[in-house]
Amino acid sequence: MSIFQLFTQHPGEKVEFSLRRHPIVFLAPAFVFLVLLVLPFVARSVFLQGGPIALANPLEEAGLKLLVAVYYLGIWVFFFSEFTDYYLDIDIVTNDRVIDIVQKGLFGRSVAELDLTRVQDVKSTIKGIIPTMLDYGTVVVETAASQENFVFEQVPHPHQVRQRILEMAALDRRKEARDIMAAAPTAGAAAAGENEMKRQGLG
Amino acid sequence: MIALPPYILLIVFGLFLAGFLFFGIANVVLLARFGARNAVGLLASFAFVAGTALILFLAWQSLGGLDWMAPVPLLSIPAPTF
Repeated sequence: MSIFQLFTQHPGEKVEFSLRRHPIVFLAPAFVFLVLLVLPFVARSVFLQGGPIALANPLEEAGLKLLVAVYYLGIWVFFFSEFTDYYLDIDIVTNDRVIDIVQKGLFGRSVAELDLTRVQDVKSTIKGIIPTMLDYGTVVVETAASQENFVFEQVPHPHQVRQRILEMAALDRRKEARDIMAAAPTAGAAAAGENEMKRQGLG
Repeated sequence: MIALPPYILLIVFGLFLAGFLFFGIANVVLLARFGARNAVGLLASFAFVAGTALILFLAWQSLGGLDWMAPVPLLSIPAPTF
């Protein structure tokens, strides 16, 4: 499945770019996984000095081995779930709208859309040493007061993303004003469209 | 004296495996359904299945010589001596 099949494209709509969180973000769960992976080996070398485990009977032996298998299967599925959660969060910017798809655990998923003409302002923030070095941060797309802001967290190159969204929003507003003018039944309505363009500095 | 055969543990392990399979399949289905039917998604799914198979194989191999049916005494109360 490609990115284009994640949402229904409008006629003439084109995907400009898509964003996922920076891959470095996934290092935290990967590190936790690695620690949990080596933990039994560390425990064995610390408590048994690497020697064999002496158990009283076959039931204890089987129990311990199955417990180890359960432990490793548990952390393995946890790690895979973390990857799924990371990979299925995606933000898509088309020439018409912004789509924010958030995977919430395994059984929750939210999709929000915002028309580019409704974008009021876009803010980008990079905070911290590692984000500054690796150039990733947060982009907040501000909308009309009644609507919730769109927040793209930990995306790569947030300042460029902000710039692109602002450019796309300006282009979309210009296109919409032209459409209004083209569809205007009277000279008065056409003038209103022209005024709207001038007001937005698009004339 | 209470004696139990080790296969009892396999029943408990089987219940855990059922839960594990449920979450594992849910992950793979999510990846395939919502945008990862590409190289990354396929590689991740393959790695998950391969890792699972490896863990189960190692567990099966380490438990190879065990007699699952032989009852093992759990609690043995020593006979009173007079």
